[in-house]
Amino acid sequence: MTTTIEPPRAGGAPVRSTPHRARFRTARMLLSERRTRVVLALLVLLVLVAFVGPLLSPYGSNEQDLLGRLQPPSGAHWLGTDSLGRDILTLVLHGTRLSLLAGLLAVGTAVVLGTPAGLLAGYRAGPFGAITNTVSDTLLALPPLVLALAVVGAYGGGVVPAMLAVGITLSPRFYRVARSVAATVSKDAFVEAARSIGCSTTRILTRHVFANAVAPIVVQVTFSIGLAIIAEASLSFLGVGAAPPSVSLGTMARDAFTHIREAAFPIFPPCIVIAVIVFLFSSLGDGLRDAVVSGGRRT
Amino acid sequence: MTVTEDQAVGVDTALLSVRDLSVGFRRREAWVPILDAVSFTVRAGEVVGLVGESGSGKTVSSLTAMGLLPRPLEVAGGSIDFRGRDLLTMDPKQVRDLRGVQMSMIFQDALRCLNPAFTVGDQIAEPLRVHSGMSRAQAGARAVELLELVEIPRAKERASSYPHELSGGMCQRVMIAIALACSPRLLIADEPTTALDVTVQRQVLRLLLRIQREMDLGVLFITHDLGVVAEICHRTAVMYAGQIVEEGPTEELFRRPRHPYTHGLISSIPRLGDAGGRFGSIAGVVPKAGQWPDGCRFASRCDHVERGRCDVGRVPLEPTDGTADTARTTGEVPQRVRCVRARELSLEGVG
Amino acid sequence: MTRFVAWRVLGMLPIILLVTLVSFLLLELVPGDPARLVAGDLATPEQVEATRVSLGLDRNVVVRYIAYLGSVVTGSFGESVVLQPGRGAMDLILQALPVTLSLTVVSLVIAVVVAVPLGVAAALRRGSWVDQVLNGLTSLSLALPPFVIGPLLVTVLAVTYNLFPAVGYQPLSAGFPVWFAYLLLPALAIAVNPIAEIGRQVRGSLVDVLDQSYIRTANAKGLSTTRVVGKHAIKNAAIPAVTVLGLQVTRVIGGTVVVEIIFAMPGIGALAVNSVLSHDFPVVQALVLFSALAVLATNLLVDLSYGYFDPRLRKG
Repeated sequence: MTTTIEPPRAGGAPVRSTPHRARFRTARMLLSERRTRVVLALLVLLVLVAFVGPLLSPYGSNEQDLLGRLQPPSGAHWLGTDSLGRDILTLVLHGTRLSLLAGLLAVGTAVVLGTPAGLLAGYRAGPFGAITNTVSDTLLALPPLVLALAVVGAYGGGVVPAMLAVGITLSPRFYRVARSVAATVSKDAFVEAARSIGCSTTRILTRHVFANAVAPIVVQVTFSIGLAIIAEASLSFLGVGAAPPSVSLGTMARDAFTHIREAAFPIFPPCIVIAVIVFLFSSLGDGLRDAVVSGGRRT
Repeated sequence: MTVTEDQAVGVDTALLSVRDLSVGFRRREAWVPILDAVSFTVRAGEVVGLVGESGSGKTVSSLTAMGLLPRPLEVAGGSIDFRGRDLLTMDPKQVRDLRGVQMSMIFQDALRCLNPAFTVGDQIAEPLRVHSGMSRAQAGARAVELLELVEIPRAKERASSYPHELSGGMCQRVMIAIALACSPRLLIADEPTTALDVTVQRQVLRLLLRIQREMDLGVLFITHDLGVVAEICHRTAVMYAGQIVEEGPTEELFRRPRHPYTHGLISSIPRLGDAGGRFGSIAGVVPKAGQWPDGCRFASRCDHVERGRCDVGRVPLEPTDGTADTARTTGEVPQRVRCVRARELSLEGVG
Repeated sequence: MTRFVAWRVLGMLPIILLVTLVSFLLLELVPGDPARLVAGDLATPEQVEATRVSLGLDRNVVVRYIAYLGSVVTGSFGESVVLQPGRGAMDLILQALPVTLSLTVVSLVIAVVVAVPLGVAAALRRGSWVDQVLNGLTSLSLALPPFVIGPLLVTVLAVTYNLFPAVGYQPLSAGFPVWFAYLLLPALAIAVNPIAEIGRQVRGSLVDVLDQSYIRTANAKGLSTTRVVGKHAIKNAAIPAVTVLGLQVTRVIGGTVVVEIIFAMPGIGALAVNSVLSHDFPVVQALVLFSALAVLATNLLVDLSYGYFDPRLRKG
């Protein structure tokens, strides 16, 4: 979530030669801090709850009970009911699942769009880099929410087009990180050696450059997921994201807000859950970034 | 070009009197000493050199005197008298009022010591506006005068330059101008010429000397360069491993060093007066802070060490033969040395 | 200086052109017939055809794009077809601009006024509990987007305790206190995020600056801590902080979209949502273009400010 002025470099970690051991070494380095492991465990728990929870709930996500609308928490409904009498806890579980999937879609798009372009642009200076830089700068000038709104407005509502749009606006971050890593690594004497024995560009890129890019990209992923989840919730809140029968934390918040004067409680569950999810992801990001900077040398 | 022929002011007008100053820091329950009962004096109108290798504690001594000791370091004992008042027991705000006004300091690598965001004129005028209450115009005019004093050509134009537009030598002159702005009595110079070219070094030293004479300044000149010491210091104190090991008139020190370390330093200069004396021909290394041995700290590297005498108990800093009495009569600061065998040894100096 | 600005604007032309392309191509995303969508289900074929013409869809893509560029250059940015048919999209934007401008300015001012002292305090008491609490709070606030804080603020301060108005906007002409009262809650909702980011950056760069030799010189001059930090340190620590401030503008623009809906303020964000919901495509396109231009202009301002803060960066 933190706006990085410079993309985090793998400053402390040495440039690796063999991708094989690198994969485990990277993972170990990233998880070197205890704080990171705790947060990661919590996130895994969250994901499990989000995916398994809805199956365990006695209520369906669309089970309406118009006589029992806007009820406060009770034994039957642990978090009460919304304006249509639906069980809030069930909705929260469904909404969390949607948020996570939406976040994944957006960030996945961003990674796929930004990373290869960034690696190529950083590895070899030239017209390609100039073009992609311009594209990246253009995307950075478009506020994510505005563009997502526009795309959704044109193409039609729904989480998928919205998240694709958000993903496009997030891709410059990955482009920059990848470009920075590639530029640094490409100057490494080791890469010179590989080139001199005739390794093709793609080979060098995929094996050596990418291995070094993994850690900073993972850090950026965690920060971006938080942003993407907020974007999805905001769009749904505005009425242009998720549409029934899909349930989103954003639509829940909208519903609760519309009826705020009738019942104050329903606004809290979706808001708190979003805050928790995003907080966990950004804490994870902080921990991972600290690990990258220190090269995994702590604890 | 030695100046030690000049007899420093005779009357006991101690500007700065450091007595038994001990400084150190706490590291994980243990106390690591940096300065060990350091004592020296600077009087009005005299230039006192403080010589030693890096890590000997000379910079820490000066920072403590100015009240600029950086965080983990603390004063563990002793006193620092400035014109009769102990800076260590004074209210910090009062010490701050003295800083930049009565006592000033200049540092090594002047370019980095100047704020890149403000013009040099602004930075010189600042102490005048803050301490002397001058208006912007007055302080600005005085800043130009000060720039002329430190021999910067086209002073008026230069006042609106930024530090990065000036050379290293000019930056150091600006630093000197800043230090002199409020006409201090004491100037502490911490390796001001070390980062400069040899020719520029000489110019800056000459400038410092001229200003010192004109303003009757007391100067504490910190350096590791004996050649510079010989050029401008009336008296010199030599530091080793957190202690003063020898102190006396510079000429005496060079002609007849009493401490083996001083002797080693002097012997290792290729030629006296040649700036850039380097250490390195004394075998061994300086013991690290916190790992100081009992007894004489130089013992492991000394050619004249005697087991059983040099390594037992603390070696005191004592006046050399005879000078204790002369000191009492003339009011001069006695020449002192921290060596058990000082009276027996006859070490060779340079004429 | 003007040469510097002109040079930068020139450098931005490719980006500006690309942005116009992006906003133009939005219309192409519409599945099916845009004219149909805009005109509505109940429209007659003649009405649909009329809409098609007003949208310019009777011409081919390239001609349309050139016409679009033309409308950008003349400043109309296209014509509204649904909300206020026939009126220039830019007109609608300008009408809504004062609201959003007030909101943005107040948010950023609040953010700076709160974040800078916080950052300074944290930097001066590095490692202390103050610093750690601040760090924790900033991490937390990054997880609270405007649409979470907005409703919470409304619930607590407007509905339960009736301290501030919950909805609406009053222009400056109605008097400063009134104008501010209506802006406070929405501005706070937007400002939380920037406060965290700016505060962090101020702390970080101030810590770096305080380690520099020239700060030791400032202390050696006998200056008070206020002066050393407030004059000598801050100017040098400003650049990264200002950079972050500039980056926050994008966030803030996104924030206004949600906040203006929550607080029923007739600003540009509300216009965006309304035009999207009513399929007024020209207005949507104009808004995308406009917000991108606003971001680019802000970036330029930030770049210009660098020269003020660090004389080493000035050109000649």
